[in-house]
Amino acid sequence: MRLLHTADWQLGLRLDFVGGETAARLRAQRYDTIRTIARLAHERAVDMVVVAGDVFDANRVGRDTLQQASDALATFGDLPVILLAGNHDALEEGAALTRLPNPPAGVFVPTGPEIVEVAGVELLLCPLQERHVRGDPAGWIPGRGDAERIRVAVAHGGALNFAEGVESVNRIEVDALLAKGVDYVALGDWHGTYRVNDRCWYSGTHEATRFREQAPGNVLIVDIDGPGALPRVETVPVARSRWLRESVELAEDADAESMLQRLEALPEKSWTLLRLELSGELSLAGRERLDTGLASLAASLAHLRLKAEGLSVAPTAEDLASLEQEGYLGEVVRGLRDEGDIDALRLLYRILREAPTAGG
Amino acid sequence: MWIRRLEVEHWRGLEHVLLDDLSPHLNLVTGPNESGKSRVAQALRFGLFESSRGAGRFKQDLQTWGGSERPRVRVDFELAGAAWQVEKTFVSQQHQTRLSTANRAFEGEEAEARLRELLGTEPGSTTSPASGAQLGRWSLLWVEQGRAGEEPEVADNSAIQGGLHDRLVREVGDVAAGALGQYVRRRAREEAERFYSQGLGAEKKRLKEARSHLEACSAEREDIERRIAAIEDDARTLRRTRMDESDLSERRAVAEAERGDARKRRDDTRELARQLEAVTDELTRAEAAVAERRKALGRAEALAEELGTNEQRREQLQAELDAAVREEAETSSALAELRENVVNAETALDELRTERLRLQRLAQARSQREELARLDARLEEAARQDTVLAELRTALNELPEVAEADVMALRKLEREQVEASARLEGASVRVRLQTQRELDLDGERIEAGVERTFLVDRDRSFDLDGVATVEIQPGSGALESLRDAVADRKADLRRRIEALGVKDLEHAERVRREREALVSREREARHRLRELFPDGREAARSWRDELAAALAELSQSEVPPDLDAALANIETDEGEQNARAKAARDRRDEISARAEALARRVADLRSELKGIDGEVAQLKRQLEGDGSVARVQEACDAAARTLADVVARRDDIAEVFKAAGGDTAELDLQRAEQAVAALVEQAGEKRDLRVALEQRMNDAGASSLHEALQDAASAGAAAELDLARLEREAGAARRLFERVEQAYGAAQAQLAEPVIRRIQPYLEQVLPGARAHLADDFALLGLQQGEAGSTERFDQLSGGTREQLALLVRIGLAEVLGEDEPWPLLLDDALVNTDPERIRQFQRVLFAASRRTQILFFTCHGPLFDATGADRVVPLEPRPRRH
Repeated sequence: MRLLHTADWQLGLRLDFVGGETAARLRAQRYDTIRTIARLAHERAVDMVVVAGDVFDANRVGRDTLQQASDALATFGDLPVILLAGNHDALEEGAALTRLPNPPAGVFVPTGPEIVEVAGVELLLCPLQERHVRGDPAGWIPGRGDAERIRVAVAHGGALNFAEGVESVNRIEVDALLAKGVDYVALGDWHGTYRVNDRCWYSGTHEATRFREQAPGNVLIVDIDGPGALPRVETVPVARSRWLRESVELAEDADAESMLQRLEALPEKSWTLLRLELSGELSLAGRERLDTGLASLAASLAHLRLKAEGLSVAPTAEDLASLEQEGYLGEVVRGLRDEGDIDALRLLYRILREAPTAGG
Repeated sequence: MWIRRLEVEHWRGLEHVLLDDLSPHLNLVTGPNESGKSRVAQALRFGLFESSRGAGRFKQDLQTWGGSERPRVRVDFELAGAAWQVEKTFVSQQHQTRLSTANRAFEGEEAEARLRELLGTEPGSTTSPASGAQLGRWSLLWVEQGRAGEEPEVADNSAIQGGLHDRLVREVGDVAAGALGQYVRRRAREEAERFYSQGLGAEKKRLKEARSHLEACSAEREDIERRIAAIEDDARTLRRTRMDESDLSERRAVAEAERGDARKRRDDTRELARQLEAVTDELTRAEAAVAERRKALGRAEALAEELGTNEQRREQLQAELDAAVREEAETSSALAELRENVVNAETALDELRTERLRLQRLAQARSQREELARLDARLEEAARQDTVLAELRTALNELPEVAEADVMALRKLEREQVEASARLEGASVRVRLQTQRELDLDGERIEAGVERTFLVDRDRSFDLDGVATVEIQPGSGALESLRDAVADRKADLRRRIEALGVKDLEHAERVRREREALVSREREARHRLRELFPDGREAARSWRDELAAALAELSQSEVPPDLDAALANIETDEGEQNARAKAARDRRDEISARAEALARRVADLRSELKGIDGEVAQLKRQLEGDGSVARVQEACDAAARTLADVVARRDDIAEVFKAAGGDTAELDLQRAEQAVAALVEQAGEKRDLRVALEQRMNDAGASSLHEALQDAASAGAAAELDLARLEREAGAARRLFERVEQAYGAAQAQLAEPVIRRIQPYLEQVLPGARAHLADDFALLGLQQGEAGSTERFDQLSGGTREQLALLVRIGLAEVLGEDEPWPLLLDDALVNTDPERIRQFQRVLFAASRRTQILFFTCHGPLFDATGADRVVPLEPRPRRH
């Protein structure tokens, strides 16, 4: 038996912080990647596809989002596709999953905890009825008994305490579940691909939603030879967008130059989102060049999120010499430097640089 | 530079004026109005600064009206050690300027250019007078008539600013950054004003819009969140409503089943109630019959019991009557004996009372006798007092009646007489005669050596032994009236004494004292008499007579010797006997009352006995009529048995009725029906709510609230970033601008300081203790009086002070500008608003300043400046203006 395990599609996510057309491209890509998954499912001749929760980012998504979801799902054809309700799209009144317009024949949305048989596999489906369920959403699953069938549990929630310090909800007791004779637990909620143990995996989201996610953009092809057999899990990348996080310490102006060169050389920059955290110290001129370089890079990337609070500008002796002025301007420069008012100093630097005569 | 000579011809009516031999120091050009001072000053200005080329209106006006000669001016000056002459003819066809020095001469435009170069001015228009900017430093140095009170315009004059700056930079060192400094200042202002209005007071549209955009984003986001929360709320309500509906449906089914049961029970109980009603009627009747029988039995039993009671009572009454009759007889006998005892006791008492009265009368006679003796003694004393009184009255009658007033009158008369005699004596002549030998005086022989004194109070003559007659006339005969007065007083006194019957005043006083003593004794005697008989002597006498008569009556009785003891004994005996008599009476009365009570009791008992006898007879008759108690009892038992049967039947039916719900069955049915109705109503409400919520949820499903929320959140985040970036840029621009302005201001203040330093000594002369305040562009801010005094703004100063201060600043600035090459200062009627006293003080300033700088001072008040100490004075004669 082979199944394709995916989760956390988060359809309806706007990603507007990216802005403009890029955001629209990224939004559209979430649906296109579903089509990619469908193609993969057909190519790899899976018996079914399980989407382990959070198909939609929220229950209040609009009809447009629902329609696009239906259209993308249509590419699975007759292939059984189990759409499980997660915490984002829990089965509350007006839930998005219950409003799908003309869902394809193979799509099945369980409306409560239930056991269904698909391709000879006993699927133990644990949709979330509410956003936050106290206790184990999979706690209801019975023991194996005498049935000699592959048993696959599909659930959404925390197998681990992902949010430290937050009271745990939707907590799935994986060990207890496996003790009941479940061959594979397909989990959703954690956006990165993550192996809990041999029989329990998070597939992660198909397209990343934020920078802090670890290893997003994959689906899992799971082969189970028979009841009790250890599943074979293959991680298959499907995402189009690349979400990079870089944290760079710039010790001197040359570091900034080399970093800019490296980033400029990134592949598929139009699909790359970069969170760049800079620290260290640059000269005024170095900072000016960095700003110019980053402006150019930002124009070519899908998105650049810059955090440069840790980056300070220390006017070098050369900078200061170039700023050094006679008369009252000398006083201004000294005053700003003594106060560490780098912003004002940079503005003065720019003004002097723009001066009609070679004043600075 | 200084001007040596000035010659003007055909200049606005001035035919020819020559100022020669001018001093490099102080030159005073005086002259009344219309003497041409201002025209001369104008000619000098045109000679130095206006091109001779062109025939603009302002140049044509120089020509004398009606004249044809061209206005011409020639100025000789010395500059940097070289002597120069410039000569210009205006309103001419050709360029009529010639500039020459020792070995060179320039003509036309070259001369103008060279002159501008020498003087540091800019080329100007040929159609309008040279502007302040073109004149450069000269606009500061030349003060035209009526403009002395204006502030020197330094700020807009880059030549002055530059000159001052260069000059002062050399003096105070590195204070500003020249053109670059100005550029940075301008750019810093522009940068700041990209975000803030002038003066950095308010934020500009850019910042405001970013801020309001952020607020709008937040508001939109909150709105969407509210709408989502409302839908979530609806969803929860819908879910609850559906559960409620389901629950209500089950509860309704239960309620309807209960209503069916209640209805059946109600029908059953109605039938039972009817049966119960019938048997209850029957029961009522049976109970009435039993009650009737029991009543008859009760009556019979009561009669029998009453008869028994009455017979018993009768026997008791008879016994009581017998006992009362016996006691009555005994009481009557005792009463007779007691009555006799009372009579005996009262007789004994009467005897004792008679004896006591006798003894009391004897005791009374004894005390009357004692009283009679006391009365007699008092009457005797009274007789004695009467004698005394008679004697006193006789003595009084014998004495003359001299009262105190009489004595006072006598004293007065005597005093008057003595006073009259004294007056006479004072007016008389005392004649002392001492005989040397024996002689006759008025016939009286007087021996030798005898001295005689005569008081002569009337004309008198002494015959001295026939030898001489001495005539003495005291008072020249005027003593007559005094003598008469003495005689009158004496006669008055005598008459009064005689009238009183006394001998003299002394006698009268003695008589008066004796009379007073007698009257006093008489008063005492009368007082004693009143004490003896307060009620009068007659009352006492008649009382005595009464006593005497009473005693005469008693004198027969024998008075026992122990009368008081006998009287006491008899009173004791009488008291005891009286008590005994009272006790006998009380006992008699008590027994008498007892006897009466017994008599009434016997009569009552007899009457009651008679009544009881009647009742007994009556009861016996009734019992015989109603039948016996046993018969009545039997009928009563039969009725009770019937009643018990009916009760048993009734209880059976009631039990079944109760089991069926009894009286509550009807209420139960009502309750069940109402419960069903309430549930139906609730279900309807829930259904309506569900339908509405479903509709709302359906509608909400069509909106893309989640996406909109993300849009709003993203827009908010972007707006926040944008605002933060703008605020950071604005802050940097603002801080840079403020710091630039601050540093620039400080530098300018440093620059202004040398100018103030130069002005200060002059200011001390004119306005002691005052200090000028200059702005960073040398604009006059105002004047501070004293170190800590307040600063008055320039435009608030008086016209005279403004004028003086502005001139001082010009002098100071001229000195700064003329540090290398002094430039002449031309002042045309520059102190018109200044009073003479201040002008005298200002003269020192002019003189001191002219030691470094040439001053050409034009004034129409020549005499006021006599003491200036001018190096050259040029008086101008009045010249009538020809146009």
